[in-house]
Amino acid sequence: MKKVDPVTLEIVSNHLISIVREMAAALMRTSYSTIIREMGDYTTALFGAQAELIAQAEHIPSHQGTLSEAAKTIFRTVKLEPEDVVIFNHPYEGGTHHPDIMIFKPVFADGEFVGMAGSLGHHIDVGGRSPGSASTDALDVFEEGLMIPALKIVKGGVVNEDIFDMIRANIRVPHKTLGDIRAQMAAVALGERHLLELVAKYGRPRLSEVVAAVIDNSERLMREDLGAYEDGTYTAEGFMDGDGISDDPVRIFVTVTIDNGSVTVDYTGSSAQVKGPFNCAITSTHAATWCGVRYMVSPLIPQNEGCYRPIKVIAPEGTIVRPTRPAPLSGRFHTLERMTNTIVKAFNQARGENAVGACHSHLSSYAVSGTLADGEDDHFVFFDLNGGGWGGTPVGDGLDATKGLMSNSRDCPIESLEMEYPLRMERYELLTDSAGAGKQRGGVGFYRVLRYLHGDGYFTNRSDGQKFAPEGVLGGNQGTKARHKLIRADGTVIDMSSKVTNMDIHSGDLIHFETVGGGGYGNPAERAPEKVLDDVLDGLVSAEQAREIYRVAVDVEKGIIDDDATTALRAG
Amino acid sequence: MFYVGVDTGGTFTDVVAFDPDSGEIVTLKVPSIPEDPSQALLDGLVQLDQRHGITTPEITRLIFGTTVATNAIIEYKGAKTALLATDGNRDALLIQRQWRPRLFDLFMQKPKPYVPRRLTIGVAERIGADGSVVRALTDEEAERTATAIGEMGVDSVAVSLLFSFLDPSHEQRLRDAIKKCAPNTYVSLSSDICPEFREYERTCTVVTNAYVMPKIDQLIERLAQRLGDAGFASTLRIMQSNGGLMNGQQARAQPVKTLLSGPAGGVVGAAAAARAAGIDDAITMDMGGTSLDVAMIQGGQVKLSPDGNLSGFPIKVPQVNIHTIGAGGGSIARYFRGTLKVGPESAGADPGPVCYGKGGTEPTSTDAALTLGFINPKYFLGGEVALDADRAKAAITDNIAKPLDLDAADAAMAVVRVQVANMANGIRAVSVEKGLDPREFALLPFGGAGSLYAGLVAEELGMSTILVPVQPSVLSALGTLMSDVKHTEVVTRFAPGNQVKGQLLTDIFIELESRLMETFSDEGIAADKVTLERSCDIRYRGQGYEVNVALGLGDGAIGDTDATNLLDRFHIEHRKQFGHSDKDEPVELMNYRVVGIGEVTKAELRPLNGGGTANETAPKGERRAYFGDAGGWQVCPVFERGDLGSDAAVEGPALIEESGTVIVLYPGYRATMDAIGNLRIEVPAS
Repeated sequence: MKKVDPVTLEIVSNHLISIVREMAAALMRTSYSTIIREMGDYTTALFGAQAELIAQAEHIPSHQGTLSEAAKTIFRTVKLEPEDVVIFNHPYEGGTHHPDIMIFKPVFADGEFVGMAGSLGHHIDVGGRSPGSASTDALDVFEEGLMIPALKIVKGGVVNEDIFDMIRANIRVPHKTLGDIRAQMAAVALGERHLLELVAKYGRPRLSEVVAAVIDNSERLMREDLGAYEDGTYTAEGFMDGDGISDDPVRIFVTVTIDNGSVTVDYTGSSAQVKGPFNCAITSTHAATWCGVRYMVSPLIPQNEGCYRPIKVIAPEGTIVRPTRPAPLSGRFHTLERMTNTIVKAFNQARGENAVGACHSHLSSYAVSGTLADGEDDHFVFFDLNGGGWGGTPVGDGLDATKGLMSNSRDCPIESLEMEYPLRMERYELLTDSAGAGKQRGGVGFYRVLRYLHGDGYFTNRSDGQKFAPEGVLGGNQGTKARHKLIRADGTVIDMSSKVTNMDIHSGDLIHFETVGGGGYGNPAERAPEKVLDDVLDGLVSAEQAREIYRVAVDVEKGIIDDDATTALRAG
Repeated sequence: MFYVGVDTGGTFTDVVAFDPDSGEIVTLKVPSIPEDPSQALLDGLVQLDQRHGITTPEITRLIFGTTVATNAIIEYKGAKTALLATDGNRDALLIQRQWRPRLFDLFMQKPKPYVPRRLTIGVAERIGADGSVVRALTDEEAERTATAIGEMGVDSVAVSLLFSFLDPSHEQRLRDAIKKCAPNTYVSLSSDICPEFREYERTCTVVTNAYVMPKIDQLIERLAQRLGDAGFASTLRIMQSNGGLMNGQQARAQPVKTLLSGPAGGVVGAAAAARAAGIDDAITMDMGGTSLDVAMIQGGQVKLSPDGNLSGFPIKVPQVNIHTIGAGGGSIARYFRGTLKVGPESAGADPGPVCYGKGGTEPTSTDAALTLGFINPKYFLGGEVALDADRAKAAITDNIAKPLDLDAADAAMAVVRVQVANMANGIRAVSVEKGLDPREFALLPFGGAGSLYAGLVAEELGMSTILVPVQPSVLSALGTLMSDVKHTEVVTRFAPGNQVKGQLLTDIFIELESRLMETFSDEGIAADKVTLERSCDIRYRGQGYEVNVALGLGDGAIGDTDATNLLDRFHIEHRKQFGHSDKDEPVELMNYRVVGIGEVTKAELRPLNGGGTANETAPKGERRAYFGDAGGWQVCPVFERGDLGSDAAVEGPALIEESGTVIVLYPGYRATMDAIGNLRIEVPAS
């Protein structure tokens, strides 16, 4: 094989990334639903002649490699021909969960299969027992919505409208969902065009050499970065509060083996598959694993097949990370956060001073529904997500109030939600003393108080983090746990578990969220006193916590450190 | 009588003078004085007098593009600022919508707000989503807050209360209380600066305004005084981010509107050059030492965006839609982990490229261009900086050529190719995001480094025409002389589409327009010189973004039919921008905007007098330059752009130099001069 020079490698690698980003921009620009456009819950990718991933757009971490598995399934099982387009979402055949619908277009140059363009969109609803195809108490995969095996939605350039009709009859907001599917089809068509331009520019044999080199390069960089860790076997465990059906904690256990630039992540010892919808299809398990390892290497490595080659996943059948059908899995996202964080925790043992405190791994995805006005049958559903604090690191404090390792969407502005819905966000502020203390503290969590203003409705919350706080590292303290309360208009306080479906709520009720603070890094008594002072003056840490945990005496009135008292505290 | 435009850059302050009688343009550069930009402007005026005999009293229009606000932000050197927010909602600046700008980076830090939490006060008050008072602001609370502000010893205060765009009275009462208690404190109200919904973005905008306000206020005050002393008798105007002008008073009250002052001038100047050349659709490429600013011109008009971003924080004021890429003349080239990277790290102006001899050791794209023979080491920035070509070549050899196993010329060409590929990807992203195909646009390079790379960028993107505008190195200053006065009034009033009636719209617009006309009156612009454009920001229910739909010109009453037509146009515009629409979907009206353009006399580009014709134009010299696969080393004729006549034509390979930049014509490219002095380059089809 002719050697590919470093200049061509850089140019083609950047060009491939530019193509998948263009596809993503086209998808976002023409999508119908807010979930794709504003939550950024979509991804695009290009594949080579063996269905190997050659580039993927980076939007949502949890989409790491998800298209990759499906592309291989389709390449293996479908007889692909020019001008075909394939639709797919089956979670037990290489999909993730029902709402993630994928669209692939095989690309042919002069009759030869040269690759595929793919796109994944999280759809607003794909049917099933609850609106949004999301519940915390579904008992099997059939309750969770429509499953689509690999089908040719376009065959030889002819659109199969029957498939559209079939989907339309089974989902709640068909014109948005079908509109988003068409936007995904436009994105893969753009990908096809650009891939063919590259074929024309370089010629098929040369392009495949260069693409192979691009993939080999990512693999080499991954192995270099992973090779910098000391070889060994590291274990870690993490827990979720429950599975939505029972309150028994759910365990994620990983054995990470680093061996000369390769990594094996073995989930043996994790909980058996659960009754509630928090199981992870194997594709999702791969995504969480790749994502976790991805945080352990340079963020600049181009995303392609080469990134996955050094990573091996062992996921025993019948566990939460590889359930057998028809176990439900629509709430898998919370499990993914826990898995990724547990991998980071295992790696911490190999990171020495570069270990990090635990991220909140708590994502509250909640929905409030009801009617807009008296006597009118005008229903609304308001949906939003709550993050929390990240872990402290050797270079700084953890991020305050941020989405999790696996997600990155923006919150809904208060002024937007209040103009549209009969709700009032009465408080949305950082939570004092929520951060895990440390030489570098964890990120601060926050609290939100939402008042329900009109009539009767429902509250659904898929969350976690009430029983297990994010751990500190290298002597850092743990962060706080989550709390969810419903305060009735008459003052009755109801403590809610982290997973509730369709709670009755009424006019005047308050929904109260306290999110989680991140784990601290290093001994809090070694934190620079000026930083403790800053946090006390900023109200993020109380003077009591400063004294008792950080061992810094702050004269709040004067806004200064009491040096003598601090020296005494730290000497003791 | 002269019009003078001034643009403050990092190194030089550019001065352009236009004689409206003859159409003649003179330009000069004086060193910038970051600690006192007004002095550099005065120095420029002295030079205008000494070199060109243009005295300050003869200047009838003076326009200033300023980077003072921008630099204060970037360097965190604004005023000590406090923030007043609704009780229970004072952490928007820290929560930052829970979003982070990068993935897969455990060590990242979010941008640090300009106001620390300890200088943020929650005020007991609340306006509801319908504009009603949910919790009244008591006099005691206003006083308590003002006293606390006084005790904090801040210079400037930003006030951003929830739903203040529906009822600004609480913000206004807090301002009055502060003015009483601490009269020397600057106060910015979100209901004045940005009366639009979305509290995080509005708060960032008003905080940014408050943070830079004292600096801008003092700058303009000092400038006005010094200009008066020098005999200047007209109105000083400032370039705004939106490509329009405003007077000093406006700039002192709303300095956040000057953040893109300089770049906006460049794009306005580029658009004027393109229009004069008969080009309606162009992508501008302003490339300096550290970055590349890309903007779109469509239908002869500069594309605006309703908001932007600076140092990681959103700025919600209308601005020229500029997309910045980390590619400039100072971009550092490195062989790193198996591939050749160029940028985004930059050597900037200090130490600058290796060839500056100021201590830079890593080769930059300017060092590559010098090694290739594109740049004349004795004529860089018009000869003001002498370049060391040997040093540049040595750095390219050691850092790039050796690890890549190439000779110095091929290594330098590799740096250029990677840089060009990055630039092309950036331009693709900008155009494709809007659903546009760059092949249908002309490429318009300016700034010091733009025309070095334009040829290869155009080829990479399949663009067939390049237009190198007149005065490419002082286009920002020239652009200020081609702008009108421009002000916008906006307000959020939520209304479901089925409740929108003509009367509702009329009431809102009449109020906005009366405020706007007051502003123009303060600017000294007669009502009959003002054109008003009404528009609404509309969305489908549930969407978090709006589409701006024009209501058309005029200031009359709006009928119910007009309201219906507006909604119809929304569906059409949504389909145009996003590929689909649905008349059955519920629609929501969110914002109402009026843009007022107050016409002023402007500079115009006129046909050149004199200059030689093609046949008479002799090259001023020749130089060896390297074109890689496109022809290797070639001995190229070198032309001085100023010598080229009005119908001159130059065939590549050739180099066309002018003060501040060089135009590289690759083999097969052909440049022709148009009547007003633009160079039009035809790119051969690849």
